Amino acid sequence: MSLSRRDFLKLGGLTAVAAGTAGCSAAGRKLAQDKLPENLPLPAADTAVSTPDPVLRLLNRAGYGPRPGDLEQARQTGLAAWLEEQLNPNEIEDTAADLLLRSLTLYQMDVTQLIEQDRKDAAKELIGSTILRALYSRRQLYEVMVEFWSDHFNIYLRKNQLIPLAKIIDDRDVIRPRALGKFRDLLRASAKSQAMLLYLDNARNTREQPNENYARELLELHTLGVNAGYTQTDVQETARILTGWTIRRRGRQAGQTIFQKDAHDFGQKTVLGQTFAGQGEAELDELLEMLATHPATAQRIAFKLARRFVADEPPEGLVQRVAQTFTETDGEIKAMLRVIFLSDEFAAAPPKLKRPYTYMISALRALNTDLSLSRNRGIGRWLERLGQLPFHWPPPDGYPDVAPAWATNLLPRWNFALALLHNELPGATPPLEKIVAAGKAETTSNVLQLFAGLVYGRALTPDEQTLFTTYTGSGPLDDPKTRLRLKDGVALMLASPAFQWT
Amino acid sequence: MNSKICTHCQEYSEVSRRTFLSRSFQSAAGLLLGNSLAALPSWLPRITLADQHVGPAGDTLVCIFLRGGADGLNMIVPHGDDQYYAHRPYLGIPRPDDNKAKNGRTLDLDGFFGLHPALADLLPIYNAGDMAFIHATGSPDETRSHFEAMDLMERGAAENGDYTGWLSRHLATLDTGNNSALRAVGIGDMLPASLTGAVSATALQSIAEYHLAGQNERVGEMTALLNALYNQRDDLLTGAAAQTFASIEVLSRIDTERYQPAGRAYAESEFGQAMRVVAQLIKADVGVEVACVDLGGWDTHVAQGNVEGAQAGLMAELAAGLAAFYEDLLTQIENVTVVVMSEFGRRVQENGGLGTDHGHGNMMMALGGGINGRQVFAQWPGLHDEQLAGPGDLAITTDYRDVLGDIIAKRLNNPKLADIFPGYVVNEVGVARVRP
Repeated sequence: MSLSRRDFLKLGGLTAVAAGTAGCSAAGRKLAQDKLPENLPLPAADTAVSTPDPVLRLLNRAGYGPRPGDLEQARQTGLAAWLEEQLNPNEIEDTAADLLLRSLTLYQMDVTQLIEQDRKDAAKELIGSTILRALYSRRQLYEVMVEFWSDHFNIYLRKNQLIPLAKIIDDRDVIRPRALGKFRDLLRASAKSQAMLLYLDNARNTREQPNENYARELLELHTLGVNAGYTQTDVQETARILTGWTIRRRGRQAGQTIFQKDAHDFGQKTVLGQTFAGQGEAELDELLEMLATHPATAQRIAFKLARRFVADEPPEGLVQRVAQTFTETDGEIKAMLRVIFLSDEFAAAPPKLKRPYTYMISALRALNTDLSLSRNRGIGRWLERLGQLPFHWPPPDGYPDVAPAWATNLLPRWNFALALLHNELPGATPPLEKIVAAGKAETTSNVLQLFAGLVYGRALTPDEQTLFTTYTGSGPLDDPKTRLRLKDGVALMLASPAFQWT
Repeated sequence: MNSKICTHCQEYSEVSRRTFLSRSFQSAAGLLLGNSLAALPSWLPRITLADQHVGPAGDTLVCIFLRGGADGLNMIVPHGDDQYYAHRPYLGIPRPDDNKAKNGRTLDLDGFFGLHPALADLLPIYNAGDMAFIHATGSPDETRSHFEAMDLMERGAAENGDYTGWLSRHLATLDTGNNSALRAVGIGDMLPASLTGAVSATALQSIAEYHLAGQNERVGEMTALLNALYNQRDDLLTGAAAQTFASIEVLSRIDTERYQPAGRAYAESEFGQAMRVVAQLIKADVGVEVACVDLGGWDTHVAQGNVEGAQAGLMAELAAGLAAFYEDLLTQIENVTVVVMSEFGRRVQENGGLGTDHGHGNMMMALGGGINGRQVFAQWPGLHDEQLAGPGDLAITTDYRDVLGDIIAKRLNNPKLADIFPGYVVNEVGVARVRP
């Protein structure tokens, strides 16, 4: 993210767009669009096998799936080297995403300015930029981890009026700077996040009138887990420690997180047997230190990471090694990810169902889709139907991460794919003609294999080939009916089970 | 399903705008689906199935889950208990005879309990004898965690172990001869945990939109291709896709555009529309035995409000939806039971944010033609400090399974309560009448 303003203007000038936010985002998209390789090879026939390609699995799980050309490039780089590259996102050249970022307006504001803005604009910018980064950024694992922590420290935008604005700060200043850092730092920042203080009501937690909402979820969801052995008394004592942490309501520093001494309970507290002298502000750090270094927290984070990246019911041995890594590295997220992605368990992982958001982004990526932020409301509505509009999960546990939660809602996935291919998604255009040209596909069979390469990362199996060809027929490519059927065919590849699982 | 004639369905199940579509669908997919639907999906969780009970289907059961821990003390108000007002100086709902209360007061039910004024729409149903309330009820879960409490309640289990839902086990242990793809539906984009593992359960957001998009003349062929692709594998999605295809077929027969509720209009709110969908499904007689609807937003730690405010708004939404549903189905209400529950109640003492923290005991509601209505079922434990449970919560004197078990046995014709609620002996609370 080292672009200067001048660089930006220069790049913007390339596409001859006027200055202004729309222009920046168009420039970013233009650059991203240009990445469609000039030549797209058809997948080799010997790739038509059902054994999963380990590199493809890595791109699907440590990212939002390959865009055209990504798979070949990652194979050349090699699995371990690709991972290492992704673990250092600041060293990845990512002009498209950086330009998109600069086109955002609310993200440039400080908190005092922000709280004066319109919450609907905030929700739009937050969701829109999240989608665009997942779609275009080359820092794929980073974006995936931002999503992971946004679930772990879930915040629901519609809980109150200020939250959409405050969540921009949470995203920009809490989650993103630490998504590949240390767990303790994330936990600390989250505890002081305005959005979190509002969402789980700690902003209202005072000595006189304690509120235990944040205290409970801090123990149950953010750190220890529900069966870690704490009691209702521990929850109440934790709430006492947290009294006084709130948001300044007015004045020059309106919107800042503050510690309000006179609302704090200065009495002595005991949580999990540890005594906290009533010393005020410092109690919070002491509490979070205890929670961040507690073995149950290591277990919980390890389990959740392994569940996300390896299997709904992750292998116990792997969870233990990740938990051990957590303890040994003081909660270093990169170190845990290395253990997971380089493990035998990952290499032998069972299929994992894409969550709806990942499904949608990976479909857009597979077809190198051009998505316009200013008209993306159609995408938001689709995400609602699929069940996973970002930042819209009301309870604090984050969107579910196991297949049965999502398996009963297939129809919207199918219809999304059909809408995408038939240009019925406002603002989203897959460059089908360009892809066909780059693939030098001249027959329906070529076209099907070309898109199978992009969607499945392999050639069609003979059975699939028969099924799809039966549907599309073998008419000439300039026949409108054949073209319609080819679009259906590609949509049904995206709708098929092979593209739901990674 | 029962065969009671639905007077409104005549025009309503006639040729729909998508009949054309569904015909082409049937020809293409009908044949393909035969086998995959008959067999149990391979992904069905390992339920230890007891012998099925063979019997006629009973009522259609509608389960409404108030997510977030609804404050039942302010819904079914114990206005005859002075301690209620002692604990809730601000949040308490004024007594029915409180002449000083300007904005509203409790609507008396039986001299001790009363309805929150925002639930006024329920009073005529109660007075007609078709609605009852149960108080000081709930699950023995002590964690006061939303997720644990919901999980336990929806699985209907005493502790960890079986991870199927209680409704799934009800469906699995009752053979009514109903092989509809829509024996169970959850309104929304996800099925509730109570339906986890159900053989035929569909998550449904809208009847009208529940079809494969695309041009009519190709939809049948597309369906066939998609079905073939899903049948190439054998995993969680194989059964889910078959279920989806079958539901599309059934729902294509319902004309939603011309649907006219028999009573008041349903509200435009998500909950109102969900109840409308359930009513349509019941009237269309497509084999729905169980329908689940969620209403969220009850986690009122701050600014809960009293007579007016956040919780009052939710209550009004709930009551309006139930009243519209009741009026709509009045002619067949003898065959419908609605139950309303939440994962736990809230702390008796109001907190500093003019809200309430997670508590324990709560209320439940039961509505239907077979309900012993016009009663509040409660062994009231009292609200004196020494009578409270845990950190100051309403104690539970009636297990929620005593309510559900009562309804399952008497209204759903399923006596297999030990399979539905393993490890628990149901003590039927008497809220339901035996179905004639």
